[in-house]
Amino acid sequence: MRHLTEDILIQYAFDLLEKDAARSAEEHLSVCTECQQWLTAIQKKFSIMDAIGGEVEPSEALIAKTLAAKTAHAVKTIPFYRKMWVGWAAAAAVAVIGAWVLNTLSKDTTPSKGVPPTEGVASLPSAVRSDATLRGQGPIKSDESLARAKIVSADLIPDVPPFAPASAIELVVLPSPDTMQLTIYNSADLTLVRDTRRLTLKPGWNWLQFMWDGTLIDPTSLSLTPLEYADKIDIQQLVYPARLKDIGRWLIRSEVEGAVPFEITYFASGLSWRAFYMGTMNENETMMNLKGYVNVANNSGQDFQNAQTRLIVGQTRLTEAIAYLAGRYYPYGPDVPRQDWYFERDITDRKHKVRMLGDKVTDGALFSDDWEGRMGGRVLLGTEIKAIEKEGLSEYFLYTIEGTEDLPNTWAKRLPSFDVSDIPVKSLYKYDEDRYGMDTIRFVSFKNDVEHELGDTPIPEGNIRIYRRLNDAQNLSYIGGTDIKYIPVNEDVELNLGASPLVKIEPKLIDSKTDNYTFNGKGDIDGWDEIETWQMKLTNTREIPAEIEITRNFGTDYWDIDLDKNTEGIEYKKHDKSHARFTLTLEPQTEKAFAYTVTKYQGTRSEIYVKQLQEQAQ
Amino acid sequence: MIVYISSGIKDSMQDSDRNLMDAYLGGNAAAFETLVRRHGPTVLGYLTKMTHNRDHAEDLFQETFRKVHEHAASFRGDNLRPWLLTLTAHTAISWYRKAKNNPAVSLNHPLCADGVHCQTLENTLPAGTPEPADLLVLDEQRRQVRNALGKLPEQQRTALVLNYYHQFSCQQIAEALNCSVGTVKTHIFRALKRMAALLPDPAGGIE
Repeated sequence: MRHLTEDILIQYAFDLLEKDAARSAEEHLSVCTECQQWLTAIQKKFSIMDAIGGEVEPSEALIAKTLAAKTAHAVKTIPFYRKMWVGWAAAAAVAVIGAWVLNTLSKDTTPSKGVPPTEGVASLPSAVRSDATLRGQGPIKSDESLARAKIVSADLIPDVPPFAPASAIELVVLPSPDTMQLTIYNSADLTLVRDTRRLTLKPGWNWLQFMWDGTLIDPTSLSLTPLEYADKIDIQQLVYPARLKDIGRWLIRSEVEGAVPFEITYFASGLSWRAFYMGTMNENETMMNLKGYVNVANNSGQDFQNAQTRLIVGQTRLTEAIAYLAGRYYPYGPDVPRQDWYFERDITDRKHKVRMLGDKVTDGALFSDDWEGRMGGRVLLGTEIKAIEKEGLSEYFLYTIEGTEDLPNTWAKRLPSFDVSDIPVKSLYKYDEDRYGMDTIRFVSFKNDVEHELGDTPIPEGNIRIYRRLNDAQNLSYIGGTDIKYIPVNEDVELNLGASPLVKIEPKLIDSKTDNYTFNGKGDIDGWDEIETWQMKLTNTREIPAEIEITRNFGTDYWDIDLDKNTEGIEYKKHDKSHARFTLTLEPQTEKAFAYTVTKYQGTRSEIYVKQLQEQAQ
Repeated sequence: MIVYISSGIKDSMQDSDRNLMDAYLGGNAAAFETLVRRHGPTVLGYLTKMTHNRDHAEDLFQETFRKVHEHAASFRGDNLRPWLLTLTAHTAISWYRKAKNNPAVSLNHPLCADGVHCQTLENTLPAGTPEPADLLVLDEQRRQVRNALGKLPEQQRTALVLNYYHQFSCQQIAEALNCSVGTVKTHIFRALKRMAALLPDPAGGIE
């Protein structure tokens, strides 16, 4: 006897077999105990499906919502998502703003044929704008706005706003912002974002929803301001719905019907900027061309399109970091952190973005991977030089990048800041064991003033790299790089370019002895002189002269020095109490040596030395 | 059975769906409420199983009844349930396809799984409820079923849920999904095969 297969038994149990097959299976089962047991086991297995019932009782609130909203258009929650494939424009959407137009004026509602007239709070097909008005048709022009916007009587607006249930909000993608402005306070990881959008209001009560999922904004800083009809539009409250993350809803009472420009402002984290400088010295290293760049990096989780970017130099004090506020589960209330979403991003997303952006923006532009890693993304080198306007504020300095920029998330963008030629510079090789060890350190100095072709603005802190033009073929050699601090106007700039192997200073102790002992009443030594003779060997293997500054620390305030005879061209001065400083110019490809003898007075000898100095002074 | 509802209108089962729909089309808004209350549990039950998310289900619940309102005039027959569930199925399928194409970060995080069979203080306190251990088992079973259902392809899940939980015949499902009866049977069978693989074997189960 051939047993039934499991497939047949399942189909039999669920009445899926054709009549003949079902009859045949039934006949077999009537005589086959084994198959009966198997069928029972199958039925038992599937009985677990009854653990969830067929019906779920809707709550009274849901029924009320359903009845109220049955004629308002789509009442659903559309989560914010990023469509990677939609293209740059869509991907650059900063946030999604949704609006649910609740009850307005129902009196002119005309029921369509076959559809019953409706009652209740939201039953106004004619008063509800169509989706097409909102969905991605681009900003409404100002004259259109004026033409469309009209004032309605305040008497027609109910005193009390309608209830806005959490799940009964329609989100509609609005056109991109008309304008976007970023003001980046670098010192505090703080960016003020201001954008203007045209929102189509209905007369009456409007709910406007702002979502910031996946971004680093401070929800407590959100602000909404009408730019027109301010006396007719009242922003009543900003609600953070319970159990919903990253959502704020504004309740707006409007006596205006039509498109009205609004400004939305908030603080964001994750945007930063950094200054870079490239100096190119001439062959003699007497002049330098200095180019300044500003590298703006966006790791805020948002894409900013056509954003005017302003950079603030100066220290900003915040009571709480924006990144911390952005990471809280609730905008206010219990301090419950949530997971750092941005550390869990898929790297492939980023690559996809890079490729996608490249399609759009990189036409004719250059990529540089130099900054990869440092800025967390590739740098797009703009082909058009944009001026950066500078403006002094009371405590800060404001740099405004000319025009607008696209700043995709995870990208960095380098923008030219200034380009100044023929800045007189001075190179100096310093030897100071206390500060630099046994190396000779190279410095390049200039001044941020008019005389040095600068001085218009302070120079923000940043990284500078110095090159030297080698020959007429314009070949460059890298000399060194360093970080510079904020340089006010008229301030000296001295760049430490690191150790120079081509200019060497080698001190050598030639002789050391003690002399001139003094004794106290008990015959013990209470004073003496330490006498050291040092030879300084200087080597310049460069093809240009080297200005050299040697600082020697004697370890005591009581000392005297004698230079030997071979010190022509060497200037010596007492730098401070315990230091002497020698300066000289060493010709190209030369070696030179000089010696000095220092006498250090110890114990009572130091008192005698001081007395002698006082007598000489008199 | 008579159910009293807040507005004072009573739902007498003597009023057929047809009568209620006619009343609604004639301008009686209360009839619509009666229909929502009568068929709401079925619709919400179906949507909850299909979306695996209470918030989505509630959104689609409203969407479904909005469609009922819009298409009320096209309802034929006496029994609203098949027509309504067909509408519900289409709403869910449409949502499912949209959600599949647009992977989304949900705004509404359910407190537990589908947000329906949550273990709340309310259902642990009253007398007469199952023992905690039984509740635990039941919770686990629900989780397993929900997970298994969630792993089914959209068409298979639709067919199985309509058939198993809402007693739709293959013919009714075929009409709802606009496909042949054979296709429906195939969907259900494949769904069951998949469920069999996903669901745990009962004690002393299938050898």
